[in-house]
Amino acid sequence: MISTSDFTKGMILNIEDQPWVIVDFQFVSPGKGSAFFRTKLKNMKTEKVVERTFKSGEKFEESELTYKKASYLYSDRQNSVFLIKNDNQRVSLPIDSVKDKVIYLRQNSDIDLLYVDDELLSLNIPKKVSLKITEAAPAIKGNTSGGAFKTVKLETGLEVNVPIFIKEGEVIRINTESGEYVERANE
Amino acid sequence: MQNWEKIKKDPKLTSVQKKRAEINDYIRSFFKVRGFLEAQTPILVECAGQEPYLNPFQTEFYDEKGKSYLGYLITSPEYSLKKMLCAGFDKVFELARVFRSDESFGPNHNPEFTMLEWYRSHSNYYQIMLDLEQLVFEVNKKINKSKYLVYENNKIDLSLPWPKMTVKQAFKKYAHLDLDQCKNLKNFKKLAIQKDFTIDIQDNWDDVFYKVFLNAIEPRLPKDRPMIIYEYPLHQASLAKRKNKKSFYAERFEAYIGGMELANAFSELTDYKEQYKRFKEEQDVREKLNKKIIPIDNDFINALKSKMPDSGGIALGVDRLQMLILNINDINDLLMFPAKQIFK
Repeated sequence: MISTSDFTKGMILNIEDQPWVIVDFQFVSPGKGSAFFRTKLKNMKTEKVVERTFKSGEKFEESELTYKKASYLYSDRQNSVFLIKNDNQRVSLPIDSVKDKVIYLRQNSDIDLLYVDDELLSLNIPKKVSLKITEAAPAIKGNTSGGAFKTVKLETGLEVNVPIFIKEGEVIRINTESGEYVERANE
Repeated sequence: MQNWEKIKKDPKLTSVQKKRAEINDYIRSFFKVRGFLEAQTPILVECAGQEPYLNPFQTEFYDEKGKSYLGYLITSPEYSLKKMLCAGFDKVFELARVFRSDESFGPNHNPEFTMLEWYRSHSNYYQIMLDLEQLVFEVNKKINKSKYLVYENNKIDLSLPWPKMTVKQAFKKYAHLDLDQCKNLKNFKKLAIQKDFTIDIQDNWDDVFYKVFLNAIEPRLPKDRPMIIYEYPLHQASLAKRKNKKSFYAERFEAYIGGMELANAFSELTDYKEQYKRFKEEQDVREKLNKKIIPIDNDFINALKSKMPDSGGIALGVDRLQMLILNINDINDLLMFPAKQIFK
């Protein structure tokens, strides 16, 4: 059991059988009542964010968070399938819950699977990935002013805006948090 | 890095400390032109505030013969200032240093902070509301040259009069609870549970009150205007006068700006018997909470007995007012020497 005084950002609380991560918390003391902690919590399954205030000293079950190194195999219409590295076990997550992440992944990309209390919940992908451009319109002559962008398609099917000088077949770095082009990769 | 080092590196930061001093100058002149006497009451006292939920700093010291004395640092200068009202001063204010243990080191708390208190005799909390609105409006206008202040991306209009709402109205509007039905703890718990609040068996009346207030009401108060919440239930009366002999409510108000609790005010309780009874009740609550029992300030009770005129009074967190006016969101960036940099 953990108490409000143990709160740290990133801690996972089990509230009504749901895993909630503490995004932020603040001490509140109304003076004429006992002290409280105001928290911002994110549900790790639904990603829903709520604000809740707990009385100082309230107790919670802490959920244990573990990671397993894995690689991405493939996705079908329902699931994305991963291979856990140390035991070669295949596991899957529903495509709807992870499609925003696997769009950045090539086959065999390294990822971390995230377990809360031994239940597979989600995956963490690298902050930056390198992907090859499979479709890009050639730069149009005359349209070379600074800041000009065009949309290209990458090997995973993802579309991004890149500077006009980038060509089909090149490998580029993408920021997976913003979904934006970072730089040419030197592969 | 310590704040003095940050300022040495970036001399522009000196303006925060200069503006804090200016704000305090304006506060002083605001009261002096209105005929208030600036008081300086003791920080070290024998009887600290009784409030069961506040934790005073305790200290021991000795006289020249080695005899030891137990004392406390004040959590508020309230008892001393009221003794001055009893003595016959009719308008007093103080910029006091006060101390509260068991609280966080920011962003809205520091164990040592500055409390502005002012009291008017032959008056009540409605006059104090007016003082407060004028004070905040004028001090902000001097510093920001505007009727607005900007805090955490909210533009807050300080024009008078400020919006006001009774505690009962706020419970009805934001939590859909009728406080008149919540006078006893059993009913209050039952109704709160029906509205999906998480209530424990050991929660007392104040706990349920704040669970509802902090979860459903305070976050929904308007962001673009100050708000005065007034008429608190008797359980939350503290040193406030009852509305009338039989009322469930007391003449207490709190002012919120930008989601921050800024000030707490009363029509002061002047009945010494009632005051003594409440102190006793507060000692009982302290005992239930396994806290040290603080002696009752009998000198204060005697002062009330000698007759205190009807009065209004208020305590305002000066550091918080400075944070609002200067748009500084963490008290550790406001204070020159925050406790966090001294002790942590």
